[in-house]
Amino acid sequence: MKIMLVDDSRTMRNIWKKVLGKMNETEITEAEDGAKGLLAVEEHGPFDLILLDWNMPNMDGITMLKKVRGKNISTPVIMVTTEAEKPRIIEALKAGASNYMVKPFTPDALQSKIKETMKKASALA
Amino acid sequence: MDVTYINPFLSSIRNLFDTMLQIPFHIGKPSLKEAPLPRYDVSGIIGMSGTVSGCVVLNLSKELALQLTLELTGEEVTELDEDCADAIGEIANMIAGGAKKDFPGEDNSISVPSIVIGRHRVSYPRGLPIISIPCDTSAGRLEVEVALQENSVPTTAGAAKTLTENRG
Repeated sequence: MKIMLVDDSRTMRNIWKKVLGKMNETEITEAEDGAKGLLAVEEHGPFDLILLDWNMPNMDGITMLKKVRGKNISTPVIMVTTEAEKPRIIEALKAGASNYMVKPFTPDALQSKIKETMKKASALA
Repeated sequence: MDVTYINPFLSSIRNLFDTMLQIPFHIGKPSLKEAPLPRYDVSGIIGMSGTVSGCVVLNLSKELALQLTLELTGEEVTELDEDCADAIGEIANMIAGGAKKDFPGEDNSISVPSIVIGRHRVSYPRGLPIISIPCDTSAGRLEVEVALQENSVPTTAGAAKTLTENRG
């Protein structure tokens, strides 16, 4: 699977990579903000999955998500963020997020969320 | 500052340690912090705006910063480098973000974290009470300082109005 990780924190991207490494997912692209993530979608896509932070400099995750969906790209996107209020979750799901994960999380919880999202995506395909 | 804005930080700190930092910890009683403020090796600063405005500051020693980086990333670091700063920023982000979800108002935003490394003292806006939450670990004390005021009209600016006085 081709997976893109979009988070301004290298620490968080490394944590995600470790979880994905345990799932034998090896083809990973990283971006440190929404603008670079959007560029990577255009230049290196399509991806099978995008893990996307919300609060980032230059372009935040929700803006990137809206732009990706505006291009009719249906790649599953999991928002992984500290934004945990209901209105934010609803906003993300309305904008086309496939799933939502609140930080902090355990590696097992993230792994389950990824599996659940991929299962749902393959059922819809 | 109302306890309704402090208790969420206690839950958020506890939740972070329980899920992502596998180090024993004990959260002490929050107290009002008064001048003269001590100096620290590392601080992580996050601005908050919306129904409240102000900042959340994590203060810690070099030893604890290195240990928390190891706990979070699984990678050993020996210096206060970019990786360590990034890890402390993410910890600050998760504590502030986790707390704001339990605030009375939902219209609150947090800024991206700023990290100060090197012996320094954090200066807060005059008149803003600073509530300090101590969190003791085997590698030293993490102090989470909360300096917030409620707004009658929500603010949109996200920048923390703090100053840091560097001492090399």
